[in-house]
Amino acid sequence: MERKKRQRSTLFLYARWIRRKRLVVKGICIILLAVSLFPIYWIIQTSVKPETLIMSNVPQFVFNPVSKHYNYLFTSRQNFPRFLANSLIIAFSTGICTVVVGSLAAYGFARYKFKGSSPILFWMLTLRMVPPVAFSVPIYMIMQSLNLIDTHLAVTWTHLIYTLPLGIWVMINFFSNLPVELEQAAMVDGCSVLGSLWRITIPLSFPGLVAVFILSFIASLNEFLFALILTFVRAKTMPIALVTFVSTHMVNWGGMAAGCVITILPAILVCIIAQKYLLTGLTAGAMK
Amino acid sequence: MRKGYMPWLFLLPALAILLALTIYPTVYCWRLSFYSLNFAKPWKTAFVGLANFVEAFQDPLFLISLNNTLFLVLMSTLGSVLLGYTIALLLDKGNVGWMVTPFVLPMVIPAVVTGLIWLLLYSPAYGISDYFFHKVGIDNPPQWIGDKRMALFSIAIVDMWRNTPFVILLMFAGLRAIPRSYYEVAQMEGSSYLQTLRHIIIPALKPLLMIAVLFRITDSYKIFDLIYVLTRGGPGDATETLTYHTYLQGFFFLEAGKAATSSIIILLIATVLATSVIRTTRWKI
Repeated sequence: MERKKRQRSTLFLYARWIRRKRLVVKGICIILLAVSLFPIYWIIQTSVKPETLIMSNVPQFVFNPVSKHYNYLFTSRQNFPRFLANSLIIAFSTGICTVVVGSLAAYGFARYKFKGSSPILFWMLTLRMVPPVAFSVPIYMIMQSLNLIDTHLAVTWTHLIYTLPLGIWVMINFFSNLPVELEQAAMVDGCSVLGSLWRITIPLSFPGLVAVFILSFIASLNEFLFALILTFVRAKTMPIALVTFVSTHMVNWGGMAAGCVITILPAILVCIIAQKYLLTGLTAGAMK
Repeated sequence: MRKGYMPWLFLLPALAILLALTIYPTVYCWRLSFYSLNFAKPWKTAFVGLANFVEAFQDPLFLISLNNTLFLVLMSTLGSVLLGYTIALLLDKGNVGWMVTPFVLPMVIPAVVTGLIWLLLYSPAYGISDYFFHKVGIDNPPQWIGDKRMALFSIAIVDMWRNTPFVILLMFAGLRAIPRSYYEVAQMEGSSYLQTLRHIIIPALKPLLMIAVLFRITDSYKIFDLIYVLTRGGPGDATETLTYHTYLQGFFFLEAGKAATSSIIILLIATVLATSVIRTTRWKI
C-alpha cells in the first residue's frame, strides 16, 4: 500500500513541475518582449511628455500627457505636413510602380523559360546585398545631369532599385502557383496574352499584389540615404526632416519624438493589419 | 504563337529602370575610380590609373573604416543570431507562438527612427541608463556614444535590437516545422532537454541558421542610417565604417575619385557575400 502511494505522488509532482517550468519560460518570454518593446514605448511616451519632464535627470514614468509637441509639428514654420506629404507621395508612387512593372516582369519570368532568366534573377537578388552608398555618387551625378535633383521622380526612381527585386521575386512565387491552363483556356477563347494577364492572372493573384505594394510602400517611406543626397527643400522626406531636429546646439526631443511617432504609424498599422502578408514577404527572400 | 522576344517585352520596363540606375553607375564608378576628380576643384582632374586604389590601402582612415566594418559586422551578426536563436527556442518551449508578431515590431520601424530613439536613450543627460547606474552606485557610467571604445559597440547593440526579430522569425518557423514525433521518440528514449537540443533541434535548424547568418552579415554590412544619426562617424573615426567613409569622401570632402574607389571595393565585397548567399540557399533548398 505504501509503495503505491509514493508512486502516485511522484507522478503528480512531476506533472506539476512540468507545468511550473512552462510558466517560468512563459514569464521569461514576456519579460524579454517587454524589454524589446521598451524603446518604442519610451518614444511614444516622450512625444506626449511636457518638456521639463523630458529634460529631467530622473526618468519620469507617470505624468499628464500633453499634446504640445504635435501642435508644434503642425504649426511650425518649417511646414512638416509638406515633408509628410512628400514621403507619402514618393512611397505611393514607388508602390504603384513596383506593382505594375514588377508583376509584368514576374509574368515574363514565370511563364517563359528563356536563356537569360536565371542570371538576371540572381543579379536582381544581388542588388539587394549592395549597400546603397556604392551607387550614391554616380547616381547623384546622373540625376544632376538630368536636372532631377530635388524632385520626387528622382527619389522614386532610386527607391525602385530596392523594391523591384523583392516585388518581382514575390510575384514570381505567386504566378508559379497559378495553373497555366487557366490562361491558356482564356487565350483559346480569344484573349490576347495581355488580355488574359489582365482578366485572369491579376485578379487571382491580388493578395500578392497587395503584399508587394505594402512592402514597397513601407520600404520607400523608411529610406534614408538617397532621400538625403537627392533632396534639399522641395522633395524632402520625413526621415530627413526628423534628423534636422537634432542640431549641434539644441535638440528638440519632444518635437523629434512626435515626428518619430508619426513616421512609425504607417509601419505599425500595416504590421497589425497585414500580419499574414508581412511574414510571407519578409521571409520570402530567405526561404525561397 | 510563342515568339522568342515575348518574355523580353515583359521584362523591358523593369530592366530599363534597373539597368539605368545600377549597371550604368557601376561602369561609371569604375571609370571614375581611375581619375582624381574633386568636385570643388574640377580643373585638377587627372587620370591616375590604379593610384587611387594603392593610396586607399595606405590611407589610415580607410584601413580604420575596414576594421570598423569588420568589427561591427561580426558583433552584430553573432549577437543577433545567438540572441534570436535563444529567444526562438524559448518561444517554442513556452508555446507562445503569438508573441512572434510583437517581437517583429522593431524590424518594421525605419532605421532613422530607430537611431533617433536610441539617441534619446543613449544620451548622457536625458537617457535612462545613467540614472540607474548612479542609483546602483557606479559613478562613472559608460558613455554609450561619446566614448571612443564604446561607440561601435553601442551601434552594434542598436543593430542587434533592430534585426534579431529576423532571426527569431526564421528560427521559429524552422522549429515549428520539426515533426512532433521526433520529440516523442526522444522523450521515450529518455533524453534530457540538452540532449534533444544537440541531436534533434540543432541539426534540423542548420540550413536556416546558415541563411540567417548570411543575411545578417549582408544586412549589417549595409548599415548607414544608424551611424549617420547616432554618431556621424563617431568620436573621431571610431564608428566610421566603409559605407560611411564612402559617403564622407563623396559628399563631404567632395573627392569623387576616392569615393568611387571606395564604392568599387564595397561592390567587390558585396559580390563575394552575395555569391555565398546564393550558393548556400540554392543547395539547402
